[in-house]
Amino acid sequence: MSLFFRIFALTLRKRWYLLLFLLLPMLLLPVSQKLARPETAPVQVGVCLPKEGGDAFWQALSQHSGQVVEFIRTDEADLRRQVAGGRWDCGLLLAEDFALRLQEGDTDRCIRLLLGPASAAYPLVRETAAACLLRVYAPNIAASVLAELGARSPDDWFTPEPVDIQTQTLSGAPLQPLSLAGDTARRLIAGLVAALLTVFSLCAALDAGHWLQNGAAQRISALRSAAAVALPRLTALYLPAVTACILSLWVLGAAQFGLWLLPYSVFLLAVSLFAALRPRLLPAIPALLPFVPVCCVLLSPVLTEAILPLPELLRFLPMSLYLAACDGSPAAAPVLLSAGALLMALATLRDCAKRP
Amino acid sequence: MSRLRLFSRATREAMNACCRPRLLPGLLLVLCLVLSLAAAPTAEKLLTGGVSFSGITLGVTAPEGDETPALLAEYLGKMQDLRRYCAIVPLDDAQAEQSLEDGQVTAVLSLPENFISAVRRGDNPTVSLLVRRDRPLDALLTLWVGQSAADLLQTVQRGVYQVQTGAEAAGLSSAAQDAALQTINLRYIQWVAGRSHAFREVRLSPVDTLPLAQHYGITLTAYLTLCAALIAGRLYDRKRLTQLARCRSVGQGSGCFFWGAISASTVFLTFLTLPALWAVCSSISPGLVGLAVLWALFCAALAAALFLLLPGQSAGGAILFLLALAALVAAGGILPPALLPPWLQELSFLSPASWLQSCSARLLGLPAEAVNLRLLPAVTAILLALAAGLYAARFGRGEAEA
Repeated sequence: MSLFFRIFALTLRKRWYLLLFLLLPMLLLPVSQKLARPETAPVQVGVCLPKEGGDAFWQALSQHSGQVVEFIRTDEADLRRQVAGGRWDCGLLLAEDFALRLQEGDTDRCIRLLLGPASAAYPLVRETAAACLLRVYAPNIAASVLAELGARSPDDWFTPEPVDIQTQTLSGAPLQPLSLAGDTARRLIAGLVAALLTVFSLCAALDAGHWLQNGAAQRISALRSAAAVALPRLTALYLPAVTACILSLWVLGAAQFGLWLLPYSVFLLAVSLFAALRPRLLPAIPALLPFVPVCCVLLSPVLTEAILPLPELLRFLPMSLYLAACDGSPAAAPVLLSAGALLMALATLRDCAKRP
Repeated sequence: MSRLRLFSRATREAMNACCRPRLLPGLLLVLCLVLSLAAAPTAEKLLTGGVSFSGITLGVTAPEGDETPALLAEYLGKMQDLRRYCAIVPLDDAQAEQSLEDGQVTAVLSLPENFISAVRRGDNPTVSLLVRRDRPLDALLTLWVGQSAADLLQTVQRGVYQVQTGAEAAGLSSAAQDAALQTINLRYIQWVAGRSHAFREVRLSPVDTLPLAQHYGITLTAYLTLCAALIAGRLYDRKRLTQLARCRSVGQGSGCFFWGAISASTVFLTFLTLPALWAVCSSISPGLVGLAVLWALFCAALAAALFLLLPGQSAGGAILFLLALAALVAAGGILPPALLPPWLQELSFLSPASWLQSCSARLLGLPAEAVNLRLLPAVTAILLALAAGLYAARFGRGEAEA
């Protein structure tokens, strides 16, 4: 036991890991801020008005902004960017000579409806825009009919208020609030932290593997097993990393996922130990490192549910199990712990078998 | 030993060095293939936000004897653009609640007594929408549709009313007034029926020329193979160069070893690139094979130049990884090009991943940036020349150390 604490203390003396505490939240804070958008309606529609005219149309349109749709006034470049990027459902781009064309009675293609990959509710947006356009244009039609008859248009031209539609539920109780995947941001943060910890596990394996080959470690390994020498070093490497990850989750508002990082860390520690004790695996680690975060993000449900043809198989990936534990699956954490224990036992047995 | 034999030996030996441990090439191949294929559906799902809308079914009721619901269903049912997202079903009060509970209709619109005449009078009659409490989004979408339709109807009716008032005020004969009402009704109906002509649909793509799936698949293939070129770093290790330099004492130059290393790493990287490109583009052609070889040669040359230029394997590996990451970001491999800041969009032509995208687009018969098509072979040639020079210099230094 004293050997464990000796190596543990020696490893902890290296202060570079303190950087982890600073770097990790700094890396994740922009992601978290980007994702923490204020509460908005589920359907967002950008509207670009011409330099002159179009205000009456905008006034009519903005009255339709509510719980389900939000019309956002913006410029053309931003409108194209947000619609093309899938952030807004669609966009309405009014012709530069919009007001003149309404006066002349030419509404043909006077509004461009910009559609992007996320456009789903655009038929409804088109209906609303058509209703607003008619509200602006209807007086012109009526005036032209009266002019044809030689009559003058009335001075108090109408400005209709929106029709009042009262919503009632079948049971009489109020509508349930809209729930729109509010946990996505926290889940993404949890996934990214776990992905970074996975990358760290390979770096730790590399460090411990190389350290086992130096003179001091070789001499101790002659007396004790290599696993007994590598484990304290790995534990000392993991301790600050896992603490930094849990602290980051707490800082970024995903503290509830911190607890489930512990079984995942135990599993990763076992993977690191297994790799560190097999020198033939070590040259592969630097080559695999850049692949690991991509694997974590694409093959586990960090961004979206697994969509490959083998989703059932991908559910058993360690990262997927960690996220399942975060989602409240009772079996995921024990599976991770058992897999970790099995890997550790395999690594130790193999090491013992090699000793004379 | 002839030059050719030495070259083939050097290539074989370099290939062995690249393929350690034995499982590594297979593992990298599987990862390249799976990740390139997984990128496309993930990006598609993320960009569409997982949103889908298949339309609503609206039940309409009115007091007994009022034919408005049936008339609405008949006339609105004929409008093709409306039918695409909304079906209207006339119901009586008893049917309405049951249909809503069974999920046969999304909501029920209940019209008050004399709704049409009230609108015609210029009143603002209140209509009620009956929805299910546990389906708030459905309810809000229906409310939105209902509001737009009601606004349209109200505007038309008020317009008709205004013309009637104007004609009366002008003292027109009753025949002229009837004609005026007929004309205004006809004009409004024509406009409402053809309201979709006021819009021109323009489809925007978040990526440049390639389809979304291929854009992400090819960009990720570029990133992964650039990262895999890290393995080629082993071939330019100081210790290895020192050992090889001993051959100079038996009259051999550095050329065979350098080209052997480049050939081995090109073959290794082609082994990773070609299946991924094939899977992403869903077709194979001599052009695609040539592109995979050219891309692999570029990665091999870049790795050679970096590892020979920088001291130590770690520095070369770190820079290569950062370059691959920068190439991925600049080519729109993380955020789509449409969402990149304008200055980064301007610089994206410098990303090797953009060159691979453009070359693939050309092979697929899509428009491609002409500059990017020339940059890939040109930069490869420059990097090869640079790496060959550096190798010769390091080889000479290695000989001195040996």
